[in-house]
Amino acid sequence: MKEIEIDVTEMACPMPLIRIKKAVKEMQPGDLLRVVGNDPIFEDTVRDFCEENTHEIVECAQDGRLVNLVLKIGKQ
Amino acid sequence: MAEEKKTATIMLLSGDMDRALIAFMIATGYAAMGMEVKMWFTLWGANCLKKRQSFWHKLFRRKKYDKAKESRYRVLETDSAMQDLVELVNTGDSSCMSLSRLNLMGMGPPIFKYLLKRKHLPDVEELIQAAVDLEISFTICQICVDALGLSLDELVAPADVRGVSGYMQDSTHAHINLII
Repeated sequence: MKEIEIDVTEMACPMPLIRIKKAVKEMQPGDLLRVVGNDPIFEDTVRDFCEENTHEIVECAQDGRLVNLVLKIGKQ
Repeated sequence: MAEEKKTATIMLLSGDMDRALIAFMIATGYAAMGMEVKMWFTLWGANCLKKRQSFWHKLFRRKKYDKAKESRYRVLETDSAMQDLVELVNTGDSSCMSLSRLNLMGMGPPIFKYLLKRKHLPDVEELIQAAVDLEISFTICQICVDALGLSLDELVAPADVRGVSGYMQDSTHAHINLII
């Protein structure tokens, strides 16, 4: 199981989604993906993405505008 | 999650920067969410895929067509001088398109681009690159290649050339079909 961290701060919709998709493509089920973003709708975007693609949000921490999320990759 | 993969076709007809921006945003968003996206380009929309070439470059340094390669989609016998003129003035590419509103005689697009940059929003070139990375397929309509004189060597991304029958097949099998 590996862990990858990506930073999508200072990117607006739809760039965070594209970056996350690119990262997820190279990962295996069960891997963890840490994402940091500060887009106002970043958390909603990632929640929709997870709902659509059977991933799971394990951890969610908010610090002002910054949102730290940890995703557990589901089967692809 | 559905078992069968959802598909979408997006046809870009307009050559305005704002519309092209939204078309590519929707396409990349759909593709990132896991849909299969096919983009179609016709008329002025095909300008998005052209490489940047200045008026002077087109006037003096334009390559002659490779007849063997181009003639598959082009009827070169019906070309006239007016065809060359249309090609010459149709200088749009993804970095210099006009806006549909508030164009302000050419002042609008730089202002709009400045706003996009300030807000960290991607511009059309970045979105085209993202679309290529997400394996979105590009298709140009054949009448547009023929009538507007697009050269397939001068595109920023590889594109197929197909007709309305291809569009019918793609769009009837797609869950979503947008014409922008």
